[in-house]
Amino acid sequence: MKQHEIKIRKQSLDTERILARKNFTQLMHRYQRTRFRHRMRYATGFSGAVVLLLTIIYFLFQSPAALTSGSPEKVATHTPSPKQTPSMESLRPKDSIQGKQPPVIDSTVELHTEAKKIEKRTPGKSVQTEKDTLAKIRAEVMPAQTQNLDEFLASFIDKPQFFTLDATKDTVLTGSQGTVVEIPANSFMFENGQPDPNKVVFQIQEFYKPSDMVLAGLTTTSNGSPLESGGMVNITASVEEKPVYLKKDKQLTLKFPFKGKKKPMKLFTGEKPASGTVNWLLAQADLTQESPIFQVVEQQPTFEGGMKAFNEYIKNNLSYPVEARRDGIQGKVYIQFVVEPDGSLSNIQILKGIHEACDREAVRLIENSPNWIPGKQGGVPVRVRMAIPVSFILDGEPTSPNENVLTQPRQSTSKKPSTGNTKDADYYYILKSNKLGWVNCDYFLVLTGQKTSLQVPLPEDKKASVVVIFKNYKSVLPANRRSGATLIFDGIPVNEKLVVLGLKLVNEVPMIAFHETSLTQSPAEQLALEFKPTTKKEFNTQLKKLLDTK
Amino acid sequence: MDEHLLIEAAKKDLTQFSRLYDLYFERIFRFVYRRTDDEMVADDLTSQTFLQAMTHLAAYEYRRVSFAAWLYKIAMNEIHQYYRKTKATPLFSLDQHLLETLMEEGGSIVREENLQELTKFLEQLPSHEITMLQLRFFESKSFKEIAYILDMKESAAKMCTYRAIQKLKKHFAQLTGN
Repeated sequence: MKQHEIKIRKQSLDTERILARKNFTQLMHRYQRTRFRHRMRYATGFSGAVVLLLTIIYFLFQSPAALTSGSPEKVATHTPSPKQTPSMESLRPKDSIQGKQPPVIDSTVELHTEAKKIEKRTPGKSVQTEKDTLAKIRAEVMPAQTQNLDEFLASFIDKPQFFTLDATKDTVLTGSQGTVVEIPANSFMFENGQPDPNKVVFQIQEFYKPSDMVLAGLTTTSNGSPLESGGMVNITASVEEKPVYLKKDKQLTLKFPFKGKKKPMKLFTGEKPASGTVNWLLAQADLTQESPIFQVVEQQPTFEGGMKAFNEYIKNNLSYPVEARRDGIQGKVYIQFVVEPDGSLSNIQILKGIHEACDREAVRLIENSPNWIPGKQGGVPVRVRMAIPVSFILDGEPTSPNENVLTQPRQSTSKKPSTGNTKDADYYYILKSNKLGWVNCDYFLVLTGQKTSLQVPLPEDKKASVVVIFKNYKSVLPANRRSGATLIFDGIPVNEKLVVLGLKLVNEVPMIAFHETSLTQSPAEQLALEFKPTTKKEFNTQLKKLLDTK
Repeated sequence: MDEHLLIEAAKKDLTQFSRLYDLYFERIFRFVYRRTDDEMVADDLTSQTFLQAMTHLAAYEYRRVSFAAWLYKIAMNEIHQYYRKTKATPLFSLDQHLLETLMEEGGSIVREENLQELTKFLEQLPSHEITMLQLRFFESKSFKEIAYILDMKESAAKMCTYRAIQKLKKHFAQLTGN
């Protein structure tokens, strides 16, 4: 009998492909996570059993009534079995600082949040050192940018637009590129909490085009995962040069114009460091928290196109987690969420999970789901709780790439919507923000298919800013890591149209290097940048031509 | 830098483990890859290996065997566990040019059909003998290390390897005889 199979490989493994998989930070996160679980398991061993018993008793008395009508909140808080508590915690959106757990493309994203959570609960030495390593690694990747270059690039950006407004009234502002900001009356306060300044100077800076983002040194990633941006703005407010802040109970409504197909945009916020890139984080979306959640309404919420279309969406977007596939895990994940009056989905929770990775995937699918048609009670859209199963079946698992995402036409915003005329923009992405500063209208770019990595050696002086831009999406990505004098961009889909752009400044002379390319399958490709000197004027036109046209 | 010092440093401060990771990542990945022939799985098992190493680093003693052998042993366990769980047929993915050297050493002429013969022959050998050959010739491990990785006595490891080589030689002789 055959005990094993022998395969002969004609080509030996090449080093680059192996090295692309090396990632100590990620390993460290995983380690922290297992330690945390380990501790949790000890802690919940006995108490877990007690809670389980109590829950069963509770359910014996409550379940028939609670499930059909009555108090939906109770159902929500008690359904998860206590055994799953640790993993449930990590999936519950409200727990984390970033609000909703970002969908996982690269597992680092999830690890990041996990690490943060550990930090919150058990502040200790090990966590501190782990933070240090992270910071160190970040610093190692980032210093490629020079201060001078930043200043040079900034000189091309449109100056911020200033508005002076009477803060005691509701105000609607429109930026030159079409961003609409709605500010409710009496929204501002000084740092010390002193309320109600009257004359407020409001400042807006808009970044819609990839070239603008590059010039501003902005990139579109959240914890290493690529985002596609529907526009970024930097909004600040001041009174007599002193910054003012948004009151806790006030929200700004931001409208980002777009054309073409609607994408599930969400609000991301971030801090822009003096040098380096912004790490965008999903903003807390608990904006309609106060209104009640319905269990059953006259008109149930539906997915556009019905449940059949929703199942289709799930089928096309589900990527079977490797760990689960390896362990032969299949079954149904029961997931619960709330359909908000605007059709977005929130409060995503796992009711019954099968495997941590599958649960995470299910949450990701729901988070990235296009908006639903909200449920209605008496003709008014209300919040409705829904629960659905997501099936993970090993055989016949659909692997077809998600047509919806991949073939979406790039939104064109090359035509500037004229000031104040809202009709120029076909639609707006309407998002709410409860703070000022850098705000990004984004969604997690899910690109299926094979991924590879790109290596870009830095020029000899190592001082250059290098980014990769996806031609078909508004995505500007920084290098994931750096090994020696080589920048490495991970997770680049095969055959995706890219622009690899290098900018540097030598003795005040701008140098530009760009390659329009797409990667073929593995092994990791190496791409040497050729910097050519240019003039200031030419530099700008070159950049716009390169990035803002299809 | 001395490996011994690196290990001591990592025991005190786990972030220092990154240097050991850098040092051995490639080797372990290759080793696992040769047993799985799947980049994703190899990736997963490799990080699992290092994760185990980090968790049990305190238990590692420098005197007994090299750190590499210790990692190989962990990797070996991970591979076994993987095949136990998935119930897939264990797989050895061998580089052609390494097999060719093996054939040349055995006095056989390298030809495409000979290579196929060899594959069939290797499939009939017991798994542990293949592992032995893999470690000895493809990973260039000493018998001491092989013995440690596979949990057997050094003399047994030697014996087992020679037995496998004898079988190979006999097989090659048959091939050339024909």
